Amino acid sequence: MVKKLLNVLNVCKRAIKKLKPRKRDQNVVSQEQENAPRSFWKKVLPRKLKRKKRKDNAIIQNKFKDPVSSPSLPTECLIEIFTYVQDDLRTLNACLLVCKEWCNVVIPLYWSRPFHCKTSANVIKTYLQCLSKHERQNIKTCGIKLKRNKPPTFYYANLLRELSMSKLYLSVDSWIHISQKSIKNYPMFTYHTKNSSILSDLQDLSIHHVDTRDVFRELSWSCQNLKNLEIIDYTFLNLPEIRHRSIHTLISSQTNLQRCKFFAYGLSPIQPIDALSTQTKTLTHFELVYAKFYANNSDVKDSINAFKALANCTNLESIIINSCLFSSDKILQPLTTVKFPNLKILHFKSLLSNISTIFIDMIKANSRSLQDLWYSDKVARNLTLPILETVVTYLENISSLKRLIIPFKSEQAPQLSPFLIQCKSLTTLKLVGPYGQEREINEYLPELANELPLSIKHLSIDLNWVVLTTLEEFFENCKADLDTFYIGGWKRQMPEVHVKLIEQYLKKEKNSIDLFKFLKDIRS
Amino acid sequence: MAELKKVKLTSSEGTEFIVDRKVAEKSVLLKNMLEDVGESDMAIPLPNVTGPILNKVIDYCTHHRDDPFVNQEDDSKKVSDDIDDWDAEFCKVDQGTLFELILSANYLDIKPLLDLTCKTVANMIKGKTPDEIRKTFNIINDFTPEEEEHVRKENEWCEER
Repeated sequence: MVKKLLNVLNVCKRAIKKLKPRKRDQNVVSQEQENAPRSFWKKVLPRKLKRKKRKDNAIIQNKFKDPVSSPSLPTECLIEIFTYVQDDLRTLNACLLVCKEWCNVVIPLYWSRPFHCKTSANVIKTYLQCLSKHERQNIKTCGIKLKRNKPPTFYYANLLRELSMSKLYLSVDSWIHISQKSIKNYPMFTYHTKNSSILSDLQDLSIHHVDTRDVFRELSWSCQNLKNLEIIDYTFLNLPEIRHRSIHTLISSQTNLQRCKFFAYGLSPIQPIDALSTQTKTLTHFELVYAKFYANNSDVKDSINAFKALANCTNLESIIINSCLFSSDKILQPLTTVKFPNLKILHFKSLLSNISTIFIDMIKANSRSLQDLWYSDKVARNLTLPILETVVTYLENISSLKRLIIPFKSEQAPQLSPFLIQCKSLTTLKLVGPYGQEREINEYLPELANELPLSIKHLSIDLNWVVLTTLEEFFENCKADLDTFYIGGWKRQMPEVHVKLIEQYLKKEKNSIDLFKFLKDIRS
Repeated sequence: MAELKKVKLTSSEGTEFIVDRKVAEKSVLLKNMLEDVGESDMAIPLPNVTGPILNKVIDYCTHHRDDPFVNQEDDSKKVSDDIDDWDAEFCKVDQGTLFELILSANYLDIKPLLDLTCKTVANMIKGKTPDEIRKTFNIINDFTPEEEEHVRKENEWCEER
């Protein structure tokens, strides 16, 4: 009993201890509140309950030191509030001009991704103010004129967390256009030496359109904390081998790479994929777009080795292979020999080769975790692919399946119907192809509508044409609350009567949502 | 059938509130305390929360007592326009009360209430000028004109395309 009382006392003490920073008497404050027009924040929120020290705020905290100038909510509450408006730059900008306290909290958020949806000359202007004397001198030697400026209020460059190189280039272009009328070429990263730490905290890097300078090697000197790397739309017309080796170096120098996307523009990025063997513990997302792996014997061997490296990344949660060509199934074989216990998303889409056997083997190996499946290729549409059969037979957690996009033939209807009833979380369904079965699938549509789980939001049927009465019956039977609906043939022509029918449906069932928002294919 | 367990809470003025344990446990702070202590009749003092605010917090927790626990580490994008009717009505209070609710939700560690109140404040900020925000929340502008101009210039890029 005594022990219990002591326990209770301890708990009470703990509760009071947590409050200690707040010494004022609540009652007095609430009386004051009624009487005086004093700043509310000053009265009610005079102290920070739990001010978390953020590393990137360290420089900033000193900037506006005056502790009495502005009352505030605890920093973590302010951060919480501002994250709801972080995509609304105008509002964020207004917030940072409200008072010093708000400014300190908003600035790291405002400057974390200045190139997100933006190209701005003024961002470059402000960044240039952050350069050291030595760095400014380096830029001047390249013939760029810099105005003498006051030191910046904050060290903005340190707050960068997401960088899109294409937007950076465009922003520099736009700054040059305004301030440096005589300069046509500018050397990127010339001031960026091995000693620079500006990019050391960068977490998201998206590089577009690199064909001349070897930025990857230069980045690897200081940029080692990336979580997310996207290399998009590269051509590498000049020295592709060297560039690929540089990407290998950049990836290998990372300490915590979690997401990686290559848009290989017709090349086979063997070395970059091979480098992922250095990120086996951390990598959770891999995406490969428009890569081509041809049949040259030595290349096939190297390609297989690259995918062996990827297969070692057993913490992968998503593997997306989009619009790629594989001369042989063997290249991807390593992915079928291991289990990825956390693999939720497996997309093989718009492929230029039929690699359905790999897809099927991967479903079998990872049947416990998969929730999102997408298979479509441009060569095997008329073949009978037993993907649906594999899903029905092997998938263990049917009730957690969220997306299913697979080839479908009318003969498979007896298997699809009972399966759909069990898919309690399925939100997206697309039945791909085949050609030549329009009549049979038209007949099946009203039945399909009956069997759609209530969770379905997006439905797309890859049919060349659909009969009006079938469509009417479909909507009559459909209990699911669809957000989008699409018939493949509509991309060529959509009969007026179909438009009228869907408009009526939307008016009745969907509170008149926009027709064009409703008629959308499933794309990503 | 097991008896519904009750918990006593005391506000800053000493007013005692008796609530179901399940309701109190929406607060992670109270949940941890109750788990540490086990069964007890002693009231838990909450000297940082006034009676009227504690009353509101209990209203909220009672209404949401059966909501599932939401994973806090969710990386999904934060949106502020998903407030349901009951919650919107709950937040129709003066700013004083709203901020007290934020502080209490933060102190008591009730994440859904903290989210709701922060979203409400975010919605009040959206689209306003600095001056309008200062007026709405009675905040004093402590920048000198030079500082304000300097910060404004360094950050004016939001107006660009």
